[in-house]
Amino acid sequence: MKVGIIGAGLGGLLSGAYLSEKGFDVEIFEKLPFAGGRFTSINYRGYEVSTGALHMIPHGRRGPLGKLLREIGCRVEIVDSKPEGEIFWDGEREPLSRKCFPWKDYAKFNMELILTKLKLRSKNLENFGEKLDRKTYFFMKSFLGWSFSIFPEHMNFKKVVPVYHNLAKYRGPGIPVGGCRAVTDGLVEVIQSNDGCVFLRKEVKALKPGKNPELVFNGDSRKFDIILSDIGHRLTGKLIGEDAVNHPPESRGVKYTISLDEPFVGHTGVLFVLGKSIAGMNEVTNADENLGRKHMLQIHQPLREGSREEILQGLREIKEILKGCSYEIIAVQSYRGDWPVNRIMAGMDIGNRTKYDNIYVVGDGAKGDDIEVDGVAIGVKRVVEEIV
Amino acid sequence: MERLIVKDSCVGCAFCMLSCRFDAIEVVGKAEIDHEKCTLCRRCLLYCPISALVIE
Repeated sequence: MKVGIIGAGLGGLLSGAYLSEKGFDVEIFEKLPFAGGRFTSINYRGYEVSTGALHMIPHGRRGPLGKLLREIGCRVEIVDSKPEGEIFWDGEREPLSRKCFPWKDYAKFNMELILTKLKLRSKNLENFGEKLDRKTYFFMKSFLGWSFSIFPEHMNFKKVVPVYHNLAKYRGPGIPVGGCRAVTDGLVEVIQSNDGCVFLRKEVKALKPGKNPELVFNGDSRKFDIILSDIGHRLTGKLIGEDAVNHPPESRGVKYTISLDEPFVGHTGVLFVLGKSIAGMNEVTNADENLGRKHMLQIHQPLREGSREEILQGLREIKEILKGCSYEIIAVQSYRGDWPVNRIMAGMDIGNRTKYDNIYVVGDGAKGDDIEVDGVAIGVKRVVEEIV
Repeated sequence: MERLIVKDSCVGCAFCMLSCRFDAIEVVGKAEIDHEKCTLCRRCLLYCPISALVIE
């Protein structure tokens, strides 16, 4: 069986590696000069600057991505974050624990969980948050901003339920040694060792559905048995020549990469920043010192519009928080439109299938019910198990 | 004279800046080109994921 994959992002590479291990004939086509898409890094001034979000796997070694990587035989060491998190509130830092928030808020959360599970209601998170203590509300806002790059009003309680269960099951984040690039480079190796091919700088210009769907490039074309697209539903539709259907919105954000002479976070976990535009930060050089010449701090901020003003506000907050530290801003990277933080806003996924039974969408544009790359892994698993 | 132009569709992902060998690009929300430093080597054109850079 010949499988053609559009895009060498994490979704494309995971599916390609899995299927090549199962004996499928895999060819991946990537328009950029490197593989990995938004889950790799580019070395810039001595720092492994991630191309997409952070050098991080939401549920660490035990989560869906960690598990799938082991299944594929991709050897990547994932350092589970310790502590998992810390909060920065009102100028003070404290480890993230149950003691951080009033017990009444846990009661409200559990009550809402029950009502939602019984399908009695599914509240908008902004409305739910109004009833919470300010600190709890701001933590919820930072958590959503950090994990999904969205604001509370963008999400319903119903969508929190699976994520909450996965967090309870798999726990917090981990950092891959070598960064995101170690994962995607490892997957390319698996594909190549199974005689699969990853073509770089080869852009798919059109996709012709049919019994043997065809990919059209500049000057040539190839036929396959199955096509997987890692570019989301909207752009896949565009390649087929379909008019844009009612498309769920993407989520926007900005990531700041900062070099520091001395560590600021000081551990491998997340420092959630409460009550500000920026949502949180991590310092991955504490897990793998080779990721930066000095210490590398990365800060994430969700964006509403994606405007320059929102970014300037984030930069002002960073200046205030890092006052007294010797630091330099290495890169400011914003994400929106067709190069978003999440191709589909969390909770609005429309699944992996298309109207053609031999064309699937994988990757960020068709995640399972989980955070970022762990969601990508769940979606990929669904598709490849259906194919195999 | 040919110049590197940033289209309005630029999202500010900074891949161009990360790929530039001449330190000719700065990005805060959108790419800005330092035409004094730019050598028109076209490397950034390959790295732009949404083809928002053109030489005109």
